[in-house]
Amino acid sequence: MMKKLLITLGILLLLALGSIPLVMTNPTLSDYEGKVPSDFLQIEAKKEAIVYVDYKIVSCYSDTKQISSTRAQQVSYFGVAGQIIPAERGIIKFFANVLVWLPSLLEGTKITILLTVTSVLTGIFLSVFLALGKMSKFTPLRNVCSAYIFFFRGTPLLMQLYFIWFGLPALIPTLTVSSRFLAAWIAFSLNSGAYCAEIIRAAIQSIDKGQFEAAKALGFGYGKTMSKIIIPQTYRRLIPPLANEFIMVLKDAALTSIIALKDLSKVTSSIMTSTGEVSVFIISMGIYLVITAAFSKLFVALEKKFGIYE
Amino acid sequence: MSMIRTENLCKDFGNLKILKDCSLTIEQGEVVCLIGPSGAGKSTYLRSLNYLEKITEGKLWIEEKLLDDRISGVNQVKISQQERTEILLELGMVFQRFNLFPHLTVLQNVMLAPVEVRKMKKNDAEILARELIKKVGLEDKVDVFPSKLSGGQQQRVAIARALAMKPKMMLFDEPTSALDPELVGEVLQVMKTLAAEGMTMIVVTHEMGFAKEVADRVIFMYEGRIVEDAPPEEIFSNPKNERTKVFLQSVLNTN
Repeated sequence: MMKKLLITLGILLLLALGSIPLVMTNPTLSDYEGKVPSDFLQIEAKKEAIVYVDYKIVSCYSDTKQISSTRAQQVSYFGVAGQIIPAERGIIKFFANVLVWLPSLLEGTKITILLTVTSVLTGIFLSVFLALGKMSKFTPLRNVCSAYIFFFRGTPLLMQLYFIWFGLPALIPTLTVSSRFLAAWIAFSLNSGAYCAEIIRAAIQSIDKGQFEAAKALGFGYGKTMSKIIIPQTYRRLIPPLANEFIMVLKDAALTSIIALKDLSKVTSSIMTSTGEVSVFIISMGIYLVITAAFSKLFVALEKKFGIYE
Repeated sequence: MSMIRTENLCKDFGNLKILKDCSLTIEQGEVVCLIGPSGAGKSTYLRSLNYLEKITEGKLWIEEKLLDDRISGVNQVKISQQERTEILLELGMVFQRFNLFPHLTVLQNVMLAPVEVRKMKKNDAEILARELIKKVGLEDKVDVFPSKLSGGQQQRVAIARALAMKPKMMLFDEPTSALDPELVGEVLQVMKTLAAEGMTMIVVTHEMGFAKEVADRVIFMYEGRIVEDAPPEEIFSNPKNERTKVFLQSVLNTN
């Protein structure tokens, strides 16, 4: 364990030392500007977008001129170790594009992850009450919870989102949601709550009846039976379906483009429309896969942790 | 003082009558074994004593306090949920399938109810729990999860868990029926110790040897009725009822 840590630290140190000359010689913005050919500079454009991204070790520069609504021209360069390489085609262009787009894609990724994590957490919180409510002996409560679950599972998430952002302010102006992210969070939490409620209900009902009887025989009331005995036993069983729900929400977060929230999907499609480069989809899908893989790993670890007693 | 008294206890499941007019009184310090063929209602009778089954008709006293006087399932006695729970804490229960809490260690299993229900301080509960675990002979297993224990060990933990609530009476619902034959002895040994200490016990069992040796009274149930109620030496050597004879013959022959 200690040895492994030392080796990792050593490698990192070597990499850091090795990259010093690269950082020193990394081309600056003015180096790139000097490289742009004069005929490109003279092009008249309706809109011009200059992107310079400095990753310290490598850097990248691109200048896009929108000549008309259908025609755009672009020069891009890629710089490393004091060299500036024109990135016109092939793998080097793809690589330069990745570097140029990455900051905005990561910005979108942040929103996607934030939305997913907060929504699923709120959803789980809601769903515990919904699930217990749906199993309650008190009929009105049971009906309310059932109706809630029926509604949010029975209508499209897209429409729920649309309704909260556009519908509510039109119907009841006091219920205007101030930010796009907030609206998305509300819609996704309410929706996720309904799905998680059924997951939690199934998990509780899968616990052996003998556990309830043992709790009752020892004098536990309903609340303590649930919180100390039954619900802790559901944790391990909950992880796989909740992981599934999490991944579904992660991808459903793409729906927020309809209310123009700049999540990963929205950023991807704007890059695609403004540059005409379809390769951005590959990068974007790659990012989704990385997130999914990372969270899957986390869920497997959680499952192990909660299953320690088995 | 009688610990338990039932009068004409009946239990229906729809049209099916599980218990028919079961009347019985159990005095403090008595060890009573309930025997009979499966489906005779022994477990249902035991479970209705601590409210795991709701009775349909009849009266139930615990420590001479009337808890239930039911007519068509409706209780004529006004008693709050809280009061009933308090009284039922006097009854400890041990199940056929142990029903230990699998997510808690042996120590935590025994400590949980004293801390959460009796509001005992954690330190005191731990001392009590360790003492009881030692009593059932599992002091080397305190920090082990139930899944790592044999059936006999699990059942002993379950007994310790019930004892931790300091009950005045223990109900055993076929405590050795789910065990491998070689593990039965260790559980019966713990139960014998309890009996010797003067604990009031009702034991639903198929262990005729245990009934003979430990019980003060043996009760034979058949088709929901209490058919015979006699000291063991009498019931095993000279059963009065024809049903009892047939049952004991078949059981003792296969043993």
